Amino acid sequence: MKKSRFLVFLLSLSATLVLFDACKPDKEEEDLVNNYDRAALLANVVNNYIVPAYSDYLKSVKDLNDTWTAFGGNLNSSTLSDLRTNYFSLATKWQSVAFLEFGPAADISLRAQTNVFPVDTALMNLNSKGGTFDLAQVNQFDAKGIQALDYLLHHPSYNSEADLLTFLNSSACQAYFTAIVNDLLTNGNYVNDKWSTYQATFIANNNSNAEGSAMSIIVNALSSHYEAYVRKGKLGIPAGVFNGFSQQAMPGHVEAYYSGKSLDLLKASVAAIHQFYEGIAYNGGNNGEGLADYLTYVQVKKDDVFLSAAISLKIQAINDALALLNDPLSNDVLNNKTKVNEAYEEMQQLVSLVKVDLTAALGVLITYQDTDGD
Amino acid sequence: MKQLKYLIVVFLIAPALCFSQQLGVISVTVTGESSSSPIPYATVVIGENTHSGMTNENGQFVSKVLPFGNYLLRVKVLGFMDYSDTVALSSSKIEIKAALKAEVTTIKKVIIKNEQEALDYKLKAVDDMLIAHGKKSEVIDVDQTDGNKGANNAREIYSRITGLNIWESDGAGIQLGIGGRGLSPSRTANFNTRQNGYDISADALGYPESYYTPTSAAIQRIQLIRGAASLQFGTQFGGLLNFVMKEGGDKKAELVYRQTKASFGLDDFFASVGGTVKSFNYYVYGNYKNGNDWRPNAGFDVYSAGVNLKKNFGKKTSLRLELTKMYYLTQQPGGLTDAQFNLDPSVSFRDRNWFRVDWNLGALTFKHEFKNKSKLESKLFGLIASREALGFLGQINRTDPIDERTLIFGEFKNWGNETRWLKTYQYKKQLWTGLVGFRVYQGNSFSRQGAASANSDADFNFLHQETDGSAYEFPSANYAVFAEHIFQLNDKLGITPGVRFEHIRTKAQGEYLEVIQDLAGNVIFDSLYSDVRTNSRNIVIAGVGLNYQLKKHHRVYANFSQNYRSINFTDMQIQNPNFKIDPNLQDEKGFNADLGFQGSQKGKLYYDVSLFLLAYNNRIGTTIEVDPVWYTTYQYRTNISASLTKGVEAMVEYDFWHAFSNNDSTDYSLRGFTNLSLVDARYIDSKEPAFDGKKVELVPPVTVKAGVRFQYKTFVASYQFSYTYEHFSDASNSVSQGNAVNGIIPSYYVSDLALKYAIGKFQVETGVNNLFNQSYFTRRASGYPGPGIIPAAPRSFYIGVQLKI
Repeated sequence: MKKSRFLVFLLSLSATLVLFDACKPDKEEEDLVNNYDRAALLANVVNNYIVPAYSDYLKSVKDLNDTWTAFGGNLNSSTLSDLRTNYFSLATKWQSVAFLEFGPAADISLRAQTNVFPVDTALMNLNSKGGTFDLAQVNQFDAKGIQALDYLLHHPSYNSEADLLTFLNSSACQAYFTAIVNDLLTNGNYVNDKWSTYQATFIANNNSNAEGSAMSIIVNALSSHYEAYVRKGKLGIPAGVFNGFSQQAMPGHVEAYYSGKSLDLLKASVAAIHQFYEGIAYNGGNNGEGLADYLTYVQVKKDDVFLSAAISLKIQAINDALALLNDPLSNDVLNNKTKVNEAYEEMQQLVSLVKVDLTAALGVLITYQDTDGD
Repeated sequence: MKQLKYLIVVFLIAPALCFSQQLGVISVTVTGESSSSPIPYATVVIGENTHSGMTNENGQFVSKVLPFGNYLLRVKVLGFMDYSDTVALSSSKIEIKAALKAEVTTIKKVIIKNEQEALDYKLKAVDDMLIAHGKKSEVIDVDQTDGNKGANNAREIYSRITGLNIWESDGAGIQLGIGGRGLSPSRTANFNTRQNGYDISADALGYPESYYTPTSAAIQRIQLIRGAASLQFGTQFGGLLNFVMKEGGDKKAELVYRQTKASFGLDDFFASVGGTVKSFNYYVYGNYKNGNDWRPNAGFDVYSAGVNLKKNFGKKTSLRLELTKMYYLTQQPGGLTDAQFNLDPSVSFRDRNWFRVDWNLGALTFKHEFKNKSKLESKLFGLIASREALGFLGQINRTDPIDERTLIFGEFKNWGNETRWLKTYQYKKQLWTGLVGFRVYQGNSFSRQGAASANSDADFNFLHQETDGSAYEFPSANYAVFAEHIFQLNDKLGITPGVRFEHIRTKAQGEYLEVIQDLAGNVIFDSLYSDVRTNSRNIVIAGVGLNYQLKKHHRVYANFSQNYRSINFTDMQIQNPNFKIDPNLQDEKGFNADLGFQGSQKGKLYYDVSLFLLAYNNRIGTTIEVDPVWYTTYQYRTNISASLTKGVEAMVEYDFWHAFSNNDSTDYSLRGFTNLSLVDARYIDSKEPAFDGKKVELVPPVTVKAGVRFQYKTFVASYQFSYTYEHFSDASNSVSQGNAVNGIIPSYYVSDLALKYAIGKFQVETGVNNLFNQSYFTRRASGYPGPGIIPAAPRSFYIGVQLKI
């Protein structure tokens, strides 16, 4: 029996060890990532960027609506110009919130309802000439939103401003335009209102960087928007990068094709993402905790440079490359191909810095589907 | 006399032998007098208390080595009159044939049967054609389990198995989802799942998912050997799960009819007929189940049937043919988000999702016993099956756009042969056993994904002839040889080393359509790519088991066995050119180790308490890599993580009545059981920083099942409590997310109550599942049958009647 007592002892000892071991806290390596004050970062970007940005976006929708309600159906050259100014201001402000496709925005697929391009001109022509439509339907998503305004206000079928005014003042077009503006108002109001309650929940979701945490949501939203909608949508597709083996440019696929302000919007988009990344308040001024600060805190380096700085430098390089392009971008993708491709390459390099290096440094998992195909 | 009634491990204590005496063994073959078919599990006692044991599946029992002399031989088994005879042992081996008279009164038989319900849940050291010596094994006698068999309620059937994480996906147990030791329960894929010893999953290597679950009422026993089964059976980390199906009894024909009615429109009909006619044994069953389930847009129709024919050629040779079919069509109500679940789990947001399975299995088993005490068994088996999932599988927090649905079609054809030879022989006064075997397995699976109708009916047709998604073929071949041997060093200590060599060849060959869309969803480019990938490798795994007999009926066992999980079909398949697979992708490898105490005490107590360690390396996963020239990013499938799982598994059952009553033959019994598992599983190394150091997904740190079971003659009442502690569903340890695909699975407890009463030819079963109407869920699905939270069923009632003639 002595042997068996020894075995009992051995077994009990191992059991104690296993249980003791099971209760040990997590590894210490991750401490830099987890010791960082995520709540402070979240409070800063939510209170000082996201909430005021949506509010300002909604304000520009309202400005447009005010002009339209005042003069719609009775537009003249001057009020058309005001409307175009409202439109461009709205399109620019949209860039500041476009990459925040989570929470209330994701609930209603705000991006798909607000800024799809290229627009379906055939469908829009039907809608604007008395066809029946319900803009809430998915099949109308490329016949509404900011890009639909771009088309209507710069309609390529009307060579003279007089003809365009006649068209815009027609009752059929007026009804359609009103529906588009109302749709933007409804969605803008929804997201702006919801953030007031979502705000606290979102900031409180800061216990880890796991899937579903606020940090993971932000990084995924930022990375997927930049990769698919900025790099690919605003520049890659028009440049022909995704056009099969021929790589022929697709000028009709630029954003704001009809007004020809594509490059301005692309620059605004990169600037907004940069501002958010640094943790700068929406209205400028205060530079609080942002992703860049988190990256600096974890001290991860990329080729001997802090990753936080490498990303900022890459954004600067993108800005420099974009400065060599000219609007209308639809011309440049055909006639300034070398510079366009150089700018695209710079933009591509930022994808890997964010999607691979930033996520690795913060232990965030990319959860969006990668259907890039490049 | 008590020993007569209870199972006793063979090869136990050898008394001090007198070496000068001449020695021999008594071999007893127990048969029925009328049918002369062998009677397994009969208790054989030699001498007054000298030696006892049970017959094997062929009705045979060989005594330990005894000195020459006269011995009283007694045989007892349910359903037969006791047998006794005096045997004179005067040569090295004497063979006795004991023909037992059948008992006459059926009522009495039933009572005896209930008394017979032994408190034992393990395999014998050598159990028919397998060696369980030194391994952790668990056995369930399905007829003795309580609960809702009409609904295949896994929670009740597997109540005595430690540490199982059970997924409840539908109200009728159509698909079994169980996982042990923190391995994913998804379609039981981490077990090597078999029926009567042959594989029943879609493809044993590349797609080990079990879409087929045997009908509970036709199962005799469920055998489970943990990870150490890797050498003799499948190499999976979970071990072996084998369903031993019923065979015909001794009568010419016995008819069983069962009918169960339960909440939410569940109707279950089961009929079987089986018996023995001369040298011919047969068992045929059919089962039909249908129901609406408890959520809208749900329902099922399940048909299953089996034929089992066995012909004995003399006493030593038999040939058995088995055919099984299962067909089912279910409508899937889809998943829920956390918010939806918390508000009201009885809703559904998907009304166009369907699932259909057709499973056909066949097996031919040849068995022969040689004169030299060795046995040969050869199984030839095959499968022709398909599974089809149809529906809109987009995230559950998006509304169904009511456009074309996705159809995923899988077709599986495979066949195999597994042959094993087992010999028990005497060496240095101990019985040693050796086993060698080989396995040949070839499979050919086909998988296609594409667009299907935009309607909501169960229309399982692709819209287009040509590939509009992906289509792949997966031919696979596997050859294995294995050997295991019990070295019984002395009365107490036995060591069982084993080794397995495998050759695997897998191939994936197919095409996929790449579609590039602009931001408005217009297709700007599409191209059909073809892809071929072959992978051939040899693997050797080894293990050793150790059994140390503390005293009669109490032992310590320990084992170490290597395991691996072969690269799955989905791991070899790409559906997007922006996806690359590591050319040196390895199979997932690791090991299981157990150290445990197991024993029983004269039918009053059964326990099995063990520690285990499961090391899981080379876990396959996906990382994102950057092309060094173009800076493009792509997904890269490679071996990314290693994890270590440690735990305690304890199962104790105690009969209070027998413990406090001196009278063993009492009509009463009152048993309590506790089944507890504590597990800690962590990623110890990962190339994906989001996983490193995190807890392994789907590992409840605590699972408990406990219950009481009261029995008076043929009346049984039992109550069971199951508890599962909260755990993560993904490797990044997500707490919650909008689409509910990943997040915490909160702690839940469920109670089940079951009553059973047999009178004459009838037996009535009734009970309540989820007695306290707990609202809980056991799983989150990433695709089918969700995606999202799949809520478990609320309180339900059932009543069933069984007629046995």
